[in-house]
Amino acid sequence: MKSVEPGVIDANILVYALDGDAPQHAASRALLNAARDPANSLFVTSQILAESYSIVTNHRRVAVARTSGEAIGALSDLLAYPGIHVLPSPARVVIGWMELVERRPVTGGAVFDLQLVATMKANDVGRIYTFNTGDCEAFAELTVLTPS
Amino acid sequence: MTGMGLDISPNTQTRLAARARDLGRSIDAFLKRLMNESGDLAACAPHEAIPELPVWHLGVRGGLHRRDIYDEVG
Repeated sequence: MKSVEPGVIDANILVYALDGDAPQHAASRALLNAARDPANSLFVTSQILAESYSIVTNHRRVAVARTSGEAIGALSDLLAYPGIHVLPSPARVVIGWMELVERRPVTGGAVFDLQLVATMKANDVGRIYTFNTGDCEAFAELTVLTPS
Repeated sequence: MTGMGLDISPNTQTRLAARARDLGRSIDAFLKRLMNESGDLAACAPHEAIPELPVWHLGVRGGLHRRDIYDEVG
């Protein structure tokens, strides 16, 4: 099993790993499979898990939406991987994303990118795996990696 | 918890539930994780305890940007 650098797995990785038709499926799956080895550490947050749930159960996001039970089952399976860890969201995350808004005054749904970055910073995690690298470019403190 | 019951003390059950909750997991997922991390138990059931993720045919629409997920709510 391959070795990977510790980092947060973005919601798009989780969804592509579940979607056998996605061009990103094999790379996403390989990354998650690395977490079957307890020697590797990959992180998720409550926000990322909820976003993944939202996507796969939403017919506006996917052509064939899954049921609530199917989505929860898949996420529960993922959480059983010994290398998957859920980052806590301590109270200081609130101050964290508010400070990021001062630096980068986004509006609307873009604030949720800042909330994720604040959660990562609160847990001293500086690496994220995602296919939406452009969404993270504004955050110089992050190392952004695309699975390959 | 559904399926097979376990004869464990209320105190142990409370501690298990609390630890699982702290890690953001169900009790079932937490126990699977403990078994995977335990050498003795892993020897009894090497990899069966680690589930395989399903492979679906979702037909993802769009780039799955976080802002899009939230902006379409409501």
